[in-house]
Amino acid sequence: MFARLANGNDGPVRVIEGQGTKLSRTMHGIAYDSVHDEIIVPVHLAGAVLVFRAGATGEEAPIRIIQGPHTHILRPETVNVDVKNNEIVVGEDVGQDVMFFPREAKGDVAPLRMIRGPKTGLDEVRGVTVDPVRNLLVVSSRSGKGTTGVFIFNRTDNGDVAPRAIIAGPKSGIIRIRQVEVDPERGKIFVAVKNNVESYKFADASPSPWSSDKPGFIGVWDINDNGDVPPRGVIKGPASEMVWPAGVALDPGDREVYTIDSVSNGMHSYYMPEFFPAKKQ
Amino acid sequence: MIKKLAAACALGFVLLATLATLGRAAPQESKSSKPAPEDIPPIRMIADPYPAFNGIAVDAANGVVAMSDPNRKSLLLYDRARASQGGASRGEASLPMRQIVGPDTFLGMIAGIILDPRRQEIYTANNDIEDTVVVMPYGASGNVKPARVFSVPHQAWGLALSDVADQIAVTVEVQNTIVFYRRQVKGVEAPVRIIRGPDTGLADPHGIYWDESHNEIGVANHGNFRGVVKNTGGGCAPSFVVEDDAEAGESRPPSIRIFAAGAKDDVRPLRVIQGARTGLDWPMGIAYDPQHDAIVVANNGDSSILIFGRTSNGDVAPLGVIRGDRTGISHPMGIAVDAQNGEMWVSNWGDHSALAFASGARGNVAPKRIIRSAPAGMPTPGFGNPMALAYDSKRDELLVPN
Repeated sequence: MFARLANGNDGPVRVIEGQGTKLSRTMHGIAYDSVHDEIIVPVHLAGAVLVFRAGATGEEAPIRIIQGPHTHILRPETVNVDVKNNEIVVGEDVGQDVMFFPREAKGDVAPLRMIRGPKTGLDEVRGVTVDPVRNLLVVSSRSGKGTTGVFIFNRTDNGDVAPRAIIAGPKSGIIRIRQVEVDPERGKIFVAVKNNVESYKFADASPSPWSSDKPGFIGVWDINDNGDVPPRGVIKGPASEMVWPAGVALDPGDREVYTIDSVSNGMHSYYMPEFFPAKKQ
Repeated sequence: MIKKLAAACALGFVLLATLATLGRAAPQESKSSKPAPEDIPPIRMIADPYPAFNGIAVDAANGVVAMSDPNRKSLLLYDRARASQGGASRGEASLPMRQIVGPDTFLGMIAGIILDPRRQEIYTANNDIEDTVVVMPYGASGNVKPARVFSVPHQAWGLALSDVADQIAVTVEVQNTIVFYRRQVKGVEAPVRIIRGPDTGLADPHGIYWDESHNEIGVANHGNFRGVVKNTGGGCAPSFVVEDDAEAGESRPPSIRIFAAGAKDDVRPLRVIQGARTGLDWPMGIAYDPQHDAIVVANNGDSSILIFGRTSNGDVAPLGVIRGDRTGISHPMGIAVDAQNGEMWVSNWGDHSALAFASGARGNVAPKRIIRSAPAGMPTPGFGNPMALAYDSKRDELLVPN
């Protein structure tokens, strides 16, 4: 946990760590529940979703754990929380699915709903978020043989259902994709478009992680976009210090966008008033 | 920043270049100056411009101690004996003999590191993204291509080498597996054997040692378990049978599991150190100390070094612990034993340092020597390939899983 205004190589103000936390070294998602003041974290290697007090520190145990065969959780990659509908949303890479649990779920419990199957087009799910205003689920999914992009479902979809919209294609600039967030007030989707390259060319210098010819970016789309459409807003380029942005978070109140970069191991804050225009009176 | 750092390193200005990035890592708060419509500088940026030590290895015969640095994606080699003479004891950063860094090196999210004194080669495992082990000659410096690179499963972490078996062992977190390759492996090769399966008890394995004198292998496990993988012909993959109870996730207690060095497939360990008395807490690096016939463990979770007897078994307390404010131990990742000089080396993830202790040290003792990759007291964000973040609006904090 870092102070929002921290700068330079500041250290964290708090750390939740240690065996008693049941965290691991492989956690690719996180969500903050501002209503109930809780943190939700997926533990990929233990097939678990952990819920902590948001003020937790040190080797503090989670207050709830979702784990076990009835959960259908295989490898939870990402999470989010829908406070309006009181649900935790879990996205999986290996499971190629999105699951919804009651926010207060605990133990070996079955999901309320699961979006999974060939019609969904989902492959390695990297990010999930809900637009409670429009009752939509937004999913980022990466696929080696299918479509890599932003998949939009109805929030209450269940089973093997086709998305209502997909943002993907060369004009979108999306090659590899990670975390997604929604600004429901303005109807915008923020996407960490990582665009990383994995190299298995043993005779040549690796294109990664140093010299990506397809640097990543933070892209902003409208919640109603569909198809191969370019982003309506972009943060990208050498001055941005981004190489492979993997995460994105929003603070509309301060008109700031945050990203975390898996190459530079850096966290960047951008002041973006154009992304958060004041509502007309 | 990274490209500039790499270029500077190729010119030999290694540490200076690293330090020179410090100013760029802390942009002044400003809410203006947009050089291009979409190329927007951050108003704030948290990043660590200094190398952060993960794995550590020591070669007494050649007088080298080496660390892997996943933060700036480099390998650093220091003089083992002169380590205290670089100003580290006065709180200054130590000057490495060599730093291997740059786009040609294949170095990324590196973790475990081992040295081959006979052939003077460095092995380090790319834990994430690259899924390779990089082999460099001792003399490598700057932005150089590796001597060899070989493919390993995703999430390789620990490495161990055996001259007797002429094999290298690699732990794989996500697959709960130890994979063995011939020592000269290059490119994409099938392993010569694998230890994997429910009887092994492997669960999120990390550090590994190869004790040739007793023909044993020891492995530190975090306990995260998410089903046993199966080989589908095109590589290893988890079962997709969600109704299969065996595939359910588990958070098991951490453990040290000792196997026969020649073990393969689904075998039971010879001994298991596991339970509340052990004090194991995110055990990372692990090594065998032949002088004391002991297993030493970098216990990351409580910033300590645990020492167990080689033949310890079950829920047993460690024979000794190095812990406390005088030790300088801060979230240790790696540990290596120098039997020739009666020392053990510890790499700290928490504060840019590596420490040499007498191998018989116990309790709250000061280290004999310190190597620093940054001035003493310099904070570290501790990021290692971070993938997500969230904003806590109540505390005005940014949350990063790492």
